[in-house]
Amino acid sequence: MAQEQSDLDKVLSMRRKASAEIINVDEPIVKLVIFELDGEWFAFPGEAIAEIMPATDVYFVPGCPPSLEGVINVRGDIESVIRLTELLGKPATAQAPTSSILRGQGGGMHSGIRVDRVVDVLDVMQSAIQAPPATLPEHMRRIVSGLIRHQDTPVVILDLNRLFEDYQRGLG
Amino acid sequence: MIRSATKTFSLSESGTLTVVSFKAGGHRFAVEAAQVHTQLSVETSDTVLTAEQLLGLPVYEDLQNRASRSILLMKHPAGNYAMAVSNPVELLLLEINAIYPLPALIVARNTLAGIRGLAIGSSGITVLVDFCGLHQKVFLQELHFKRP
Repeated sequence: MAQEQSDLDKVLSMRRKASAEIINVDEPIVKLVIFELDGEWFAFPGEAIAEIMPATDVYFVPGCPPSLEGVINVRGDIESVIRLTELLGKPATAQAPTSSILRGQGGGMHSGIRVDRVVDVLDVMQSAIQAPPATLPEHMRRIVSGLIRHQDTPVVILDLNRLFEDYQRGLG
Repeated sequence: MIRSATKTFSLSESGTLTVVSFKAGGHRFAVEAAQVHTQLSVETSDTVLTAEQLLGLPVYEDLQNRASRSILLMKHPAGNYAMAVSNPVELLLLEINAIYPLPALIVARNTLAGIRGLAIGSSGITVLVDFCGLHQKVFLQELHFKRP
C-alpha cells in the first residue's frame, strides 16, 4: 500500500522543483565597468578593461589632437591616454579630482581612457541590457552597444572595439 | 656604432643610445647623435630651416629670440643641411629601457613629421625624431627654399 505523502514531503518536493527552475533559467552574465563622464553614466564591458588606475602623471606629447592627453608609464611600459568627452560630442571639461584612468583593450589596440569617476563594477544579466534607442545621435550610433539602468540612472554601454577603431581613423 | 643596411645607430654596449637633444616649439626633442654632423657657433638666420618647420609645429615665440637658438648641421641622404633649434642643446646618453616605441593611437593620430619614439626620465619626456626618414623629395623642396 502506497504511503501517503506528508506535508513536509510536499513542501520539500516543491522546493526541489523551485531550485531546479532557478538552475534552468540561468543566463549569461555580463560584467560592466560603470563610470561617470560630464554628469552622465557610461559603461564598458569588463572584458575590455584590464585595470582601473588612480590619477597618475600624464606626459603631454606634442602633435597629438586635444582628445589625446598624452602617455602614462605603467610598470615600465607606456600607454596613451585619451579623453572620451570629444569622442562623445561633449564639451571639454576640467579634470575632476576623482578622475581615474581605465586601461582598455579593443580593436587590436590598448590605451588608457580618462573618466571623471568610476561608479561601480557589477554583473548584470544579458537580458537586462536593452538595445540602443533609435533616437541616439548619429555620432553615438556606432559606438553604443546597449543601455541599462543602475541605481535609477540610465547607463550607456559603449563598444570599445569600435571606439578605438573610430578614434584611430580620426574621430574625436 | 652598429650599421644596418638603412640606418646608423649610435647604440653603445652599455645599453645607452647617444642622442643630441634640443628644444623646438617649447618641447624637448632628440635625434640620434649619428645624424648630427656638428653644432655651428653662428647666429641663426631667416634662411635656415627650423626644427619647427621640419616637425610641423606651430611657430613658437622663442623663434624671435635668436640668442636662445643654436644651429645644428645635420646629415641627410639628400645632403647636409643646417637646422635652427632652441637651447639647451645637449649630448645625452639615453638608457635603452627608458626609450619606448609609440603607442598605436599616437602613431595613428600624431601629426609630427619624423616622430619615432619617446624617452621618459626624471626630467620628463623627450620626443625621439628621425629626420633622415623623411621623404627625400619633400625634404629637398624644403631645402631648396631655405638653403642660404
